[in-house]
Amino acid sequence: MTEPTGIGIHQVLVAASPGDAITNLALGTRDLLRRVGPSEIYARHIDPALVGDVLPLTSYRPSHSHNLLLFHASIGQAEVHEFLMSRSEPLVLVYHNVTPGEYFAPYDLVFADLLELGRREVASLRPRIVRAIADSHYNARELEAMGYRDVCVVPPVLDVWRLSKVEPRASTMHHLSTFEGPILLSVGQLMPHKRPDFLVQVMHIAETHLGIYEFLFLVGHQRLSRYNRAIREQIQELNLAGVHVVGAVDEPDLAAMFRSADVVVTASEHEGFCIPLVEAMTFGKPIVARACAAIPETVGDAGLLIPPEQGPELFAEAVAETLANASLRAELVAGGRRRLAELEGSAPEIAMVEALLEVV
Amino acid sequence: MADEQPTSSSDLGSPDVSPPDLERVITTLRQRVERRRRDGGYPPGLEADLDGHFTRVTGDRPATPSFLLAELEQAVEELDNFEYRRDSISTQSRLPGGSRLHRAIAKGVGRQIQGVLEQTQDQSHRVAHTISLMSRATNMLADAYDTRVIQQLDDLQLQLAQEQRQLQQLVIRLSEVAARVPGAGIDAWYEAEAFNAHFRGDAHAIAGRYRDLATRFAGCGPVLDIGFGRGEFLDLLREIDVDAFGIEAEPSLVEWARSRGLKADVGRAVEYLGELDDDALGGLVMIQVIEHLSPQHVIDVVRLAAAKVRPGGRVVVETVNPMSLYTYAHAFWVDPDHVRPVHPNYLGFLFAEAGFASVERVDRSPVPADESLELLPGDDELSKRLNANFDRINGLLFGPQDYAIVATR
Repeated sequence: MTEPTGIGIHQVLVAASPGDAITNLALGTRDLLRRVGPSEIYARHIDPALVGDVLPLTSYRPSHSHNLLLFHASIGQAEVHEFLMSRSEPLVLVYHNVTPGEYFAPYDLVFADLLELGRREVASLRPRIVRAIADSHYNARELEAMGYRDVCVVPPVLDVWRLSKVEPRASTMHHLSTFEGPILLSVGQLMPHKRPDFLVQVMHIAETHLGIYEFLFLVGHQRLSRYNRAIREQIQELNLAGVHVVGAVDEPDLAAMFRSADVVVTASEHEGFCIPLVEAMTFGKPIVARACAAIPETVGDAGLLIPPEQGPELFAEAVAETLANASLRAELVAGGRRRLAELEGSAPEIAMVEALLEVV
Repeated sequence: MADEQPTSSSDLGSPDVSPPDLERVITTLRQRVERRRRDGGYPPGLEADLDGHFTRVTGDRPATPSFLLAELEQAVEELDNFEYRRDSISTQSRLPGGSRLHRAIAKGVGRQIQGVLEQTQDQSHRVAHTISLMSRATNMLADAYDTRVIQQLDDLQLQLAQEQRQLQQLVIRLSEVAARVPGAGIDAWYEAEAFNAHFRGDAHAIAGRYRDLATRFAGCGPVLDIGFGRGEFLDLLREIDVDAFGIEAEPSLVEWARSRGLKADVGRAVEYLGELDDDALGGLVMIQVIEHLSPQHVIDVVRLAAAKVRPGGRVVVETVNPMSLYTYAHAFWVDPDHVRPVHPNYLGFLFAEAGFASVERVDRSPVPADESLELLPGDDELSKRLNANFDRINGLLFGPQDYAIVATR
């Protein structure tokens, strides 16, 4: 790889892997930044599929100090933190939120600690940061609680319609058309803070107490084997044949699932933004979610938002109502269109570049 | 699917009127949940039961280091902010002496208590400060340790993967090389038993040929037979009541020998001898074995024989005689596992050098008379000279096929 020359705006990640939301955003941002000057992505851990496209952090050698560094905060990583603290380039923080470690404590102590470390590192970076950018107002409030000032909010979406333009896989579309009952789709990694267990409870209530037979697809990476086992065990013990733990799928499959879904659901308690819900809007699907973290500002009027303190009974009721009430569905879909227009109107990419250029 | 849903329940209004306010929808749904709870549609404690169920599935939650740390920091802060207050120390007294005296005493005691409190307060701040330093130091050490360990693990993994690749290549090369080296052992698909029956002849007949060598071990127990094969020599030793045991590389031969009541073990010459105690043996015999060993193992075996056979004990090594050219044509190269013939002079030299008291060579297995060159019957000068030449040729070509070194320690 050639060493970057000229005034460069480079991005730093802890880990880069294909399909990861932060990596995708960094790649999109890099394309944008390369229109103005040299721009590379540096990471401590690089998935083999991205070697060459993303450069190892150890290879970072700025030709002069006019560079600007953009750091996407995620899990804690002492080496990355040390690197950022020791450089003299102005540093911009992009905060996508770091999940509180406590969610992971029962399943992966080490990961729980890395998350906690990540939060502490974000706080201790503050003296080095010339500009803080947050995905959502919720994230901005978290940064402000750590002492950050003038946090700029830029939604993490570069092309909202991208997934909806992907050609869905025909065989998957056909397979899903054979399901005799409404399909609930939940997209996100199978992680404790996303509360798939809550959705499983919703399914139990719908089936056992409301007499509604639905299907639930839990789509997303399963990186936490203990948690994965617990969810499967929960589904098995509640004898729910309609719940499918699908795992990660490629985009043609994901597009097929979004198209075939009747409602897009999430019970997540902690989201810095939640891109799959915006994708649900682009597919014209109503949303049922819990009003936690950044979800209300992301969803707007596109979904029924269950108060955080309410349990699966109300959620199950809301899903049933959305399925049964055509005018409610139409209203939610219309709300989604309004929210999309709003997101597009805010021109996140321009906002991002403006936020960066202010500090160059 | 979406378009085939049953129609809406009635309490949310019809699609004709203005679209339902989402807040109102939630309120209506909450009322519906309440109604179901009252009606028993939702049994009491349903949500709590479901939560309890998932908690049981996941098991107990252990504390993580960082939460412990947060708790510690909280505790230090509380300790630091702790104030000793005089007003929480009781001043009530029931001692006699009247209130004036009490006030006077209280004033004096009060000043002392104040002094104690100030010092205690000071000490408490120091304790809190020390604990806080300790906690920060522990934290820093742990962070530094984490970084280094993770880096080292990364490096090790990389190194391990590289070395594994090299090792795999070496293993492949090794097996290629081994396949080309004579005597590195062949991996035959045929039965060793079939080979022996075809080329060595009947076990009973062989036994007869070795009776004389067996008698050399009279009174020399225990005798180790290295490479006992079908156990003919062990049988002979048993016949003359000499305590004997054998080793073989081939497990099936060992099993077969054991089934016939012989003492036998799986083993190879150099390794097995190396593990015996010094002077453990009264005798050592190797019949048609040494030509299967590499030159290095030949000299190792002689050195080990000198160490493991006690003084007065005996070693017999029988092998193909390389001084008879007939053996090359008929015997030696028949067995693909033969490495190289061992010359009697060299073998005798090894035993003498190893310190054996006497080293004797015994010629064995003469070539059948009708195979060698026939002498002329005449007594004239020409016949005599031709016969002398025939004798020399017979000696070189048709010498004894085997020889044995009998060495006494």
